[in-house]
Amino acid sequence: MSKSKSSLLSLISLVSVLSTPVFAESPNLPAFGADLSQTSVSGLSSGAFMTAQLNTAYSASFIGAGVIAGGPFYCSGTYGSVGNMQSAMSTCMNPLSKGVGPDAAISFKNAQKFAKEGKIDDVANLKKQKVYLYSGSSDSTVKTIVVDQVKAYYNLAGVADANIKYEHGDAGHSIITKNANDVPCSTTKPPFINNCGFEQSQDLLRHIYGELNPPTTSDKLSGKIVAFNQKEFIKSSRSSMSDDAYAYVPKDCETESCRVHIAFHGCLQGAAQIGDRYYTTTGYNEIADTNKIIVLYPQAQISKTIPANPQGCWDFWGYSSEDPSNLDFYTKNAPQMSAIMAMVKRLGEAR
Amino acid sequence: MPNTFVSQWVEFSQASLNKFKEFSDASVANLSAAKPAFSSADVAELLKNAIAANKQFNDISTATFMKLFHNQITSMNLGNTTSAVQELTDISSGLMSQFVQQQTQFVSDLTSAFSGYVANLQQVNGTTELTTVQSDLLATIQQQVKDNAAANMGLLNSLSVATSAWTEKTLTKAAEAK
Repeated sequence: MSKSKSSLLSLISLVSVLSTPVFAESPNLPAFGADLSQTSVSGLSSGAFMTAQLNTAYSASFIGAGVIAGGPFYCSGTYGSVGNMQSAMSTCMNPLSKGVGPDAAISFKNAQKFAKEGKIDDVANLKKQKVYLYSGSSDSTVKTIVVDQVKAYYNLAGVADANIKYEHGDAGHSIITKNANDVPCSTTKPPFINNCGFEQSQDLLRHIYGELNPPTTSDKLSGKIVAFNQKEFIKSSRSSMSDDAYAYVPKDCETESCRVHIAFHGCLQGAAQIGDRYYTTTGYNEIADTNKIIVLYPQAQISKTIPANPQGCWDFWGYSSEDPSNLDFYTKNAPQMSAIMAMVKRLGEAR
Repeated sequence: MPNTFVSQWVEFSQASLNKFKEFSDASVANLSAAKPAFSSADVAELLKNAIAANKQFNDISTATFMKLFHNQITSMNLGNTTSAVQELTDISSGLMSQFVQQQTQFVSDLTSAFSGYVANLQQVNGTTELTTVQSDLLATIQQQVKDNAAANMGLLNSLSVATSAWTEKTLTKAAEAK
């Protein structure tokens, strides 16, 4: 090949490389040497169902849970004669009556059975949990009779009433803040972040961890939001999880060992739907900042084809399971839960 | 578990909902046909008919539901098990309560859309704007009808799930009692 031809080909190759769009991946989640003996979890709606699910499946790894407008563990499997998805949309959200709603006794019996089969941690770990629950009287998406069964579930697991804080108010289906610009308290509408005059995230963290330092304000946060490559932790094509997720890391946690809290968004609340609203304006970061808590915000995403998850909900009925005749969404091997626990593990690794 | 009661009820409800949807579609089509001259009387007629259709659907649903319930109890040979019957009554009440809530919201949304239409009419300047305003109202009503149909289908799912769950619970209790 002549020198001029070779130069031309090199130039074409260079132009071709330069003109190819580059989609940079977010960096991997850093290790922060976190204290994983102090890990807790909370969430709203499908994130609340996921909270109860993760807290039960990996009970040995948690000290507390905050369930905002959600139902008990394996709620969608309450009635064997009803499909899990059908049940998730009805029994577990707005059943026509209490008698055909979730049943804490059935949920706990199932948890005991799954633990015996080695699919989830020993249910004996549940009795040490501190549990925060909330149901709003204006919430017609997930009724109070559903949340009531979460309390009954933890009571059956041996959690004393003193360790369960069950709050009621007139909120619509939402996580509650005191931000003037959020949705009016008793309304249910996107982004499902309502102003009812208090920071629910901070209340639940105070219940789980006991007395905490007062929160800072959003303009005085010491730490930073870390966007990271969530894909790294996903082992299944059916996970319906986003490529990226987020964590809030207080400044102190860059050099000291901090606690970890997982905060699950609800349906239609992933970053693709509401931007940074959930992981920057729900009040978690402000109290985490002054109390050495890293807040992990995993992200589910909408999937309109396979798996069917048109609202970007966390899986509490089985869409992420490879085998529909052998659902595993509630086990420690479930695609979403195993990915999330791998993220927690990373946070605990040495820097 | 084969459940004749559920399948009969779902079949009946689907037929009823289809009728309701046909009515809604026809009403919207009539309004469309009347363009560009449909009046507040046309929309008021739509609202009136919507309310009447809701009531009719509600009445028929209640009667059919209770009849099917009684057949179900008889076929399961449960006698008058108080708690089972009470739970059926609760399901029926829950169904009606949610249905009424949904339909009240539907009518309220229709009324609100119409109020907006009237407000816009007062500012209309020429036939082009009139057509735009009327098209906007039609699109809104069509969407509301569609949303209402989806909500009713959701209610049907709840009913189907509730009756299956009730049957399962009742049979389990009956088996445990033996």
